[in-house]
Amino acid sequence: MARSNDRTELVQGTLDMLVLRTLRSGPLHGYAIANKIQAESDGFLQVEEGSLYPALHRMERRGWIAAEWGLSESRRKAKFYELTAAGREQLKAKAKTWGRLVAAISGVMGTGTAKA
Amino acid sequence: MSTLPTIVARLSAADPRSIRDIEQEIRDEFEFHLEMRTEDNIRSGLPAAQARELATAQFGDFETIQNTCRKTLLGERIMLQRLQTALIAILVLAIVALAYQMYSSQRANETALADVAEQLARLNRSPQANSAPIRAGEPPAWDADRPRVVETFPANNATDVDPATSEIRVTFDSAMTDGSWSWVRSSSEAFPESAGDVHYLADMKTCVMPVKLEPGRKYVVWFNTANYQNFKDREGRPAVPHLLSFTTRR
Repeated sequence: MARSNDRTELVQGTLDMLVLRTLRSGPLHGYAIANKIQAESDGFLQVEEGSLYPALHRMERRGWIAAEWGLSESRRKAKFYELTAAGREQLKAKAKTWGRLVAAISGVMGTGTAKA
Repeated sequence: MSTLPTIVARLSAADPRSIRDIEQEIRDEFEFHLEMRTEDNIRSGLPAAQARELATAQFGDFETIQNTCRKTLLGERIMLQRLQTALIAILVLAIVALAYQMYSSQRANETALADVAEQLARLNRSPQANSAPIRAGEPPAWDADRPRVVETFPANNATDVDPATSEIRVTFDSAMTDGSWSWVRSSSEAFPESAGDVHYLADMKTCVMPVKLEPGRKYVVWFNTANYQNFKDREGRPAVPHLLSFTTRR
């Protein structure tokens, strides 16, 4: 899965959550979303285009995000995605599940505070 | 799995864009991504051509990703379109089948009507008016050569026949095969009671059936029908079917 020693692809099922979290600060196009996830993970998480765009379109269909064409920072036509109210609810639910998962795994691994 | 109502609800929430528009948008979005990546690669020191090449390689399989997105955005709509096409095809087939059935039925009715018209023409051809039958056109050659009834006793449609009449006679326009006839009943009540052996007279044109009639009754006799054709001439040609109907006086 890992491309190199210091980068890894996302854990399956977490991409939606990360995209929703990234969009919480405002509308972004796909390229910016991928870069922001990579930057905020200090370059550790690599978002594949082959996963990113299907995920964006799937969430758009589900109404978690809304899309609109606009002009990018380089004055090019780009498709911007924005978090919707349904998307915020999804983000909350996913974050909660993720928190439980991390705690449980940490407990098992003996690296956290969760009970084993 | 999405249920059909969910799909319909989603579609009716109406994405006004056409399929072609959506496909173009996917391509535009990817192209934008490639351009941005190319610029970043140039900024990191690569020549433009190499930067674009690398961006393309980094993006991955363009066609596969495009198809995945296409299915995500258009899968339900394409499925509904296929369903719609299939329904239209079924509807067209049903209409064609129905039209063919109606056409066949009409043809059958026309044939039946033609048969009835021919029968009526034969029924209305009296021995006295042994000329043209009541139908359009000339009869076919094989029919024209067939023997025909030219006279009956009692006469056809007679209503005052003496109940003491002891025989029914039918005379053809040509000599017939001896010992061969078809006196056919349309119903047992309307057929005269036999009182002796059927036979031809010496001229072999007149066939006689001895009978015992009753007063005030209607009698009906067919000489040959479509199924019984033993009245035939010496060459074996069956006589044209003929109906005799008469009523005895009280």
